[in-house]
Amino acid sequence: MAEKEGMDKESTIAVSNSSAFEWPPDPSCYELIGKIGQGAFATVWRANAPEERECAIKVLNLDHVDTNLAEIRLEVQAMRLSLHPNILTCYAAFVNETNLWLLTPLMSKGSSLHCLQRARRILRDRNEVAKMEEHILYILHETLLGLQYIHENGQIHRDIKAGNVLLDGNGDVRIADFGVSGWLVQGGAQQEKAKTFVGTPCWMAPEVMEQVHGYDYKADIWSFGITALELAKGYAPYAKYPPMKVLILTIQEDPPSLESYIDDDDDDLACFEEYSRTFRTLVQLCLHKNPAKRPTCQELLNGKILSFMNDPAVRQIKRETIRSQVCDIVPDVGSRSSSSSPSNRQMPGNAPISIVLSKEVDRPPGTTWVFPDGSQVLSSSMTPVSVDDVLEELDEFGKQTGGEHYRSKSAEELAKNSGVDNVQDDLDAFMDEFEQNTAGEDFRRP
Amino acid sequence: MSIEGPFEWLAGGLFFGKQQKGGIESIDSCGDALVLLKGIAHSLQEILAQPENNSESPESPAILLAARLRRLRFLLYDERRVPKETIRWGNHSPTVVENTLQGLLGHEMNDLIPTLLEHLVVLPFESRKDVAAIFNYLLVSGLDGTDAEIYRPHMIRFRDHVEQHFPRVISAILAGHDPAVHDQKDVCLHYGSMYRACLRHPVLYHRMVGTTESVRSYVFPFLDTFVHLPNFEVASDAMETLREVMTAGQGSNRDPAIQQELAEIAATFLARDYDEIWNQRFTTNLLSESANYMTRRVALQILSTVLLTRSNYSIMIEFVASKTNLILIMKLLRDTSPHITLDAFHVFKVFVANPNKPAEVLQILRDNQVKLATYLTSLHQEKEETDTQFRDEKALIIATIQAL
Repeated sequence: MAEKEGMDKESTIAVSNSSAFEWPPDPSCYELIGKIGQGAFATVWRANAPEERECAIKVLNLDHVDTNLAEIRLEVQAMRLSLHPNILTCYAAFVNETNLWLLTPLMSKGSSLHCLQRARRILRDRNEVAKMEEHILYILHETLLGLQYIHENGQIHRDIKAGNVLLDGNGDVRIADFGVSGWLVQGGAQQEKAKTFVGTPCWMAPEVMEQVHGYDYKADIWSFGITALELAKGYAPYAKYPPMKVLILTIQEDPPSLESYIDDDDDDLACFEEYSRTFRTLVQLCLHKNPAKRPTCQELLNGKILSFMNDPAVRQIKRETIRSQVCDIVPDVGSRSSSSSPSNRQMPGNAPISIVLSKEVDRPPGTTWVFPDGSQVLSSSMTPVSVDDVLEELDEFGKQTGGEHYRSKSAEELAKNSGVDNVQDDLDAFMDEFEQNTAGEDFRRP
Repeated sequence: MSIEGPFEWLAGGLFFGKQQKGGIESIDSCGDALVLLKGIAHSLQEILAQPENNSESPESPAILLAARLRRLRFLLYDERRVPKETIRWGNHSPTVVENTLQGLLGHEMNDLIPTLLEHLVVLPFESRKDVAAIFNYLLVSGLDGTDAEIYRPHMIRFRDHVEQHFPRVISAILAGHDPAVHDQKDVCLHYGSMYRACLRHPVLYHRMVGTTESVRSYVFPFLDTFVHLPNFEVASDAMETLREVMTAGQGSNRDPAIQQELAEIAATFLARDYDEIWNQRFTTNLLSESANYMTRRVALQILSTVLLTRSNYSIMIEFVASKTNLILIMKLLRDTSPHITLDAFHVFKVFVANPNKPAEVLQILRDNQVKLATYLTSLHQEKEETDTQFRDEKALIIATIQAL
């Protein structure tokens, strides 16, 4: 594939986003090649499209989306209304049986986290030294450009993490997954602050957890700071703790830093890497517990640490460097040959806080309604028939994950496990307050 | 320059910090809405005169227009950022809104809003968002928020302006949804949001559904075409619009007086054009097996909201007196999707609870008495633990069926 030179054309003052190719809204036009990723409700595939094009397809079972599908509608709309080189846009979206197919550009190296970790492992096996800081700063700078665009459009992303920052083979970086993004401005009405409790605990800003004053776009800056640590260390600071504990640590402790990591992990690939003072400062700036003290995207981009990359020539050099040193040594995701799934280690704090799904109902078999005109209706006429193996696999996947949910541990259990006696009282107080604030609502993630 | 507060992101990178050249720089620092509007009108004329000019020079009409629209949008939204204390002491008068309206309502630029709407598709990508944001802001700014009262008189003036140009505005919105007119999916979404902003005003809502003719022209395109478009984002947006048309945007207006007025308008047109809406379109096209999963699921929600709204009593009575409708709902009750079966239950219960069931409805229920009782018992058992209302309703419906 040719190098993407469309950066400038795609800029925010682009006159039109019309492309010559219209992606057909028809599943039979696409050949699913391999799995790129798998979430609780969705699978992402690498796919071949007409005219020898490639794309990624997120297949999401709408039956697992609760309430009125508004969230998924807003997610797809947010993608459709974005036109920025650092945002994953949407080629097309259509409904196929109970699934939504969402077509996006293929980011062949997968998430930035996956890609850096693979590169570190490969370099270690070659006995070469992995110096990732330069690449991380490049990824962070690109991410900020995308995030700035999101904020300018009156949105909060709400789930910024390295797993949602994707890398293409040529070094392009794009923010993905508007799954939980919220609108501060909608239909002309002004919402001062969002109040929904969503996200993934390790990346959540304290004010999002506290649920007291609401939060605004500065919550993304916190998540961005955590993402920086995650890229440096391979996982988010509190990823080893259960979600409730993560909430407590985030609210009560000083903001995490590189020092929050205990470097005794058996395969902590990053633990021997040294990071500069400027990198530490960047993290520190973003991880202010008071949102007002966190910088904006604009301030970060024009600040001392990252502003040197605003020069297009420098940016181009950095892109080339990450392409040759990282992208080129890491295999593509979802290609026929690579069976590897993203190496995102499942740690307790990585689990999204999610809604408890309604379970599948066991239906009495073979009930047929009788109508006076003699017509009989079997519900089986509506049962989707798996046409090929792929769809069968999808069904299987749906069954396996259907009704999956993460239940937070009870307060007692948590206190028992935490093994920290002197904060026991604080813990209890926090739990009480927490339960009041959430008023027994299920944690949700669409 | 630094700005603090929740609206900072709207200021964003386009206007501060970055030093830009020539015309755009002066636009960046322009604080006068009237000057910006004149510039917008001028650039728009230039674009329309030379639609093929794709120049990327910083002085090209498209780029100047984009900068001016973004700046105006920022000024409007930023104005609302004033501290609450200022409002309380009565020192606040929204001069940006005033100046904007003075320009738009004046003789010189009276045409600007309809013209912008008619040519949204030739505007730069970001400018389309800005036009929709400005239009929607001016149209609903006096409805929501603690400071809504300050903006209400201005909003009313803008609403009257939209009404004055209603035929052009609504034609632009409907044409903008039509895939035969253009292939820009994002534009449909902007038009959808503007249509829904109009629906929040009884006067404009009435223009859309006040007569059978207007319903045919302004609502049926959604029912007949737009909700069936293959692209999810466009079809789901059209479904959302349809939901707000048919349910009078239930829950979106905080003012109960306005909400009631809207509900009455809804009840009137849903009953007046009952056959064309429900029999010829809604049940046959949206709830049938030919419609896709998303359409059926949302349509069923709309149906149950409409039927269970008090002001729609006559519509409910007519709906549950129909044998065909009962058969349809019983099919949906057996769907494979738990979401659809749950919503189907909330419609089905009205058929059962109806004290004056027609003979043919009664006959069907009697013929399936045992099966229905068995089936309903097993339906969504998991919900009974948490949802006591559902549990009680289900028990009552089963008992009623058994006693038939």
